Amino acid sequence: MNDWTRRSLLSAALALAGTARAQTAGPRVVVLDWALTELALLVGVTPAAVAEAPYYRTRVATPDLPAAVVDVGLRAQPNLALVASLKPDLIVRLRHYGPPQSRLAAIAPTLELSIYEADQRPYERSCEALATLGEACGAAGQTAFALARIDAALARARERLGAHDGRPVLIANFADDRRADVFGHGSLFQNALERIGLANAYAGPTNMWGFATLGLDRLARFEGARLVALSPGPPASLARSALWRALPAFEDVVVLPPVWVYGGLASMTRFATLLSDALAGSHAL
Amino acid sequence: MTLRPVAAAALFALAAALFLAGLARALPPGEWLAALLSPQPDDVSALLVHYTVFPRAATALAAGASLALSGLVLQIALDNPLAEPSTTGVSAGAVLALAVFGSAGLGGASQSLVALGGGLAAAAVTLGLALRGGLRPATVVIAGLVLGFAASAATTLIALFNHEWMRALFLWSSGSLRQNDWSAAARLTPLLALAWIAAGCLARAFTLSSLRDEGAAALGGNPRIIRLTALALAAGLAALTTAEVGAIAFIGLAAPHFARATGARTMADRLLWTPIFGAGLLWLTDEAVKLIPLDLPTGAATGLLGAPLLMALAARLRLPSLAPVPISAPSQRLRPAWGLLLFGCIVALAAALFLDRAADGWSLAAPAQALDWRVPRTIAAFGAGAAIAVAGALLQRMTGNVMASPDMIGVSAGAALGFLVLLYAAPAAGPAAQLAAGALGAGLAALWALKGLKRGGAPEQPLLLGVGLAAAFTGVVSFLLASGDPRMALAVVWLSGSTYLVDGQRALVILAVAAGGLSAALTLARPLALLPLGPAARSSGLRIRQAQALTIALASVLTAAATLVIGPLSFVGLVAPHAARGLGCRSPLSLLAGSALVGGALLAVADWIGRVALFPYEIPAGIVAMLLGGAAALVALMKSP
Repeated sequence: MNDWTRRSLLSAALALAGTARAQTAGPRVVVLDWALTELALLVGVTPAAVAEAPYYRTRVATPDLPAAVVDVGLRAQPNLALVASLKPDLIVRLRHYGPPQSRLAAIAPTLELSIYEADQRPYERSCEALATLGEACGAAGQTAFALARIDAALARARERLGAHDGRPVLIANFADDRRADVFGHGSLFQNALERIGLANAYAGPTNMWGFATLGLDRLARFEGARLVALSPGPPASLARSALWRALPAFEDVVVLPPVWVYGGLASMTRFATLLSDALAGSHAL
Repeated sequence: MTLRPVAAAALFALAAALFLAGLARALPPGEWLAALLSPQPDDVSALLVHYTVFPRAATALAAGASLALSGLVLQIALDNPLAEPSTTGVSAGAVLALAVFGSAGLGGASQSLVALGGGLAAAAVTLGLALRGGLRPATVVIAGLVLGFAASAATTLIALFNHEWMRALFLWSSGSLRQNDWSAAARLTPLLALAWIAAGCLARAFTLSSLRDEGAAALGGNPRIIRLTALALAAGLAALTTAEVGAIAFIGLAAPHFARATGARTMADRLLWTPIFGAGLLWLTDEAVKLIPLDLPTGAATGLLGAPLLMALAARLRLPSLAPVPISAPSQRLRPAWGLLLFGCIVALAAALFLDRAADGWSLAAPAQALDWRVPRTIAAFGAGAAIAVAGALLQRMTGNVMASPDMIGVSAGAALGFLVLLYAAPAAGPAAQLAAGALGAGLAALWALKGLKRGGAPEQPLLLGVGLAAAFTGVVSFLLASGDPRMALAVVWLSGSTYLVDGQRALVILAVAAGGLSAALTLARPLALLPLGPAARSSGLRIRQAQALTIALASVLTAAATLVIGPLSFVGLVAPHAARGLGCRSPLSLLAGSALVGGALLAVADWIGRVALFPYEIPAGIVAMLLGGAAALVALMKSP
């Protein structure tokens, strides 16, 4: 990771963390999904427990999750006995995922939120979820601040891109050496691109989470676009192959550090910050 | 006589037409040759055709022929028409190696080498174990199956905790023929040619070995050497192919039957035509797949398209009846070890109910707490384990086939398919709807199996149909898992067999079904004692068809119930009857009861281990059962004379 990336990541993390403080008086909240964990941290609520907490720290990364937060097991099947033993005041779950609502409701009041749905409005739903969550945790006053901090971070990213040549970008997450998930309408990355003034080269159909899986033959057709790959980027064997080196579309690929692709508003901001740094930085060279 | 060339020509013509039509969409015909031989470096279309379109077709042809040849040689060497390349544990070993080294999706020679290493290691273990047992076909099949199950359990366990690999791993294991260069085709083709020639040289030896051991020995062949050579050839070929293209099911199973059905009778004919049909089948499937806008992996499609073909074929095919083989090492015990069985059950249940792990360490759980969390899960695990074990015992007893396990009649595949399709199409549907969808799938599969029986074939015929359905199911599952849908994480848990979602009501239902099913099965004890005798059973006044239909229906109900409550658990159904036999349960009566106890105890203890081993992370009971049972079975195989 370059210096500039580390610096702006740090500042972004600080800005996003805002007023996150030790939860001494607030409700004990158990969050079973990472996108919702982001939202809770954004409104200054530190969960008592999060599913797969150690993996959150490496794969979602921002906002920081304090080390004291308990790990309650897999997101798909959190340990219900452990959740119950924590005597939470509130369980927060994402719609469609994990154990059924009835199971959780038997332990504690359960708040069901949704982000990625068939209507492909993750940004609006995230904002609604942020407000609902803030209210449920007694931090309703924090919602507006959180949104303002996000707006400020996005504005800074847009500013840094001022000198950018305006080339459209193709956001790809390589699944293996033969295909990649390409993000478009219905992903929070699309919202991020719009907010920082970049054009998305991919305008085709996408699934519920705002991506489509394309083979190399399709990827090669986006000539003139800047290929932005999420970490770990294209596999080494692919980057070395004759086909890859021969195709102009893959010429100057940018690889971003890990960004959670099923994430929430914080991941969206993290993506915008990393991308603007990478593009501005590569132009400064 | 003339059927074979016509059928082969039709396959290839159809595939070629689709291929050329696709090519014409990418490049004008005048530029095809230049793109194939030396594309202009600045012509993107020509480059893509050169590096992706042509290599894909070449790889499909080579892989199809390799898999078919491997399948044929295995079917001959093991004298089992249900054998296919993965029977030696090759593909499961390759996937596990990729998972362990985290190299799935990296591509290139390093990925192929890791997969090849894993596949060859698995084949070596299988053959090594079987060698100790004198290379009896039954031992090879069991060793390969057990190893395959254990390896895939270990893979699932790794995948559950390593999401970043999971996608690449599922994509690879669903068998994709997408290529970035010519390397796969270049590596496969010469080795295929060598293997084909070697197989041709062995044709006479194969003819001898198909006469079974005594006959072969009488004619001057050494059946053990012939079989070992054949197995090594088939396993090596399967490992090489799997390393390049991932797990492509079904071609190796279907192509030999296809060649036979179109009239390849002599050994030389079969060796010549089977790879040709395999190449044509895989190429055609791949070209058809490319027409579908979804990124359907070819391995998934071979299952989907091939299953109905195999089912149609099965009705016409005169399957050579499988010789009843000695299934387990003959036990030294004369009487079932009831005491040991009951003691094992009590220990398993006591641990599962009262010994618990929480955030602050181990504890002897208070009964009141046990009522909340552990009782339903333990009861469900015991009941489902018992139900599936009885189903396995019924089917093995009925067919005398060592590979007969409940998933082979397609019922668990049908149930799981119903559940998954609903999860994908209507994620908001509640548990009741999921149960109904699963039951519908299971019912359709059972009807299909019974219908196959009615048409009047060997008792293996429903099994063959089930294998087809299971192949289709595996295809759909890998496609869904590779789709990148994050909800599928829950599906992986359920597909491994988990008591996580069980409540008290479902637990009691499955326990009641297991108890009822066992009582019903015990009334079938006399027909089950006679059925393995084949037609001779008729002379003792048995209405064979009716007895077979009853057995299959009962096994279907038990399998469906267990699958719906905690997921497909085919391994328990396979291994529990073997363990019971090892404990001295020989008569049908004692085998059924003994299997129920072994299956129930195995799954109850597996569920407990899964809950406490990696607390707070829960390992699905089915995975633990496969690892435990697999290890025990491999040790037993090693000890057997």
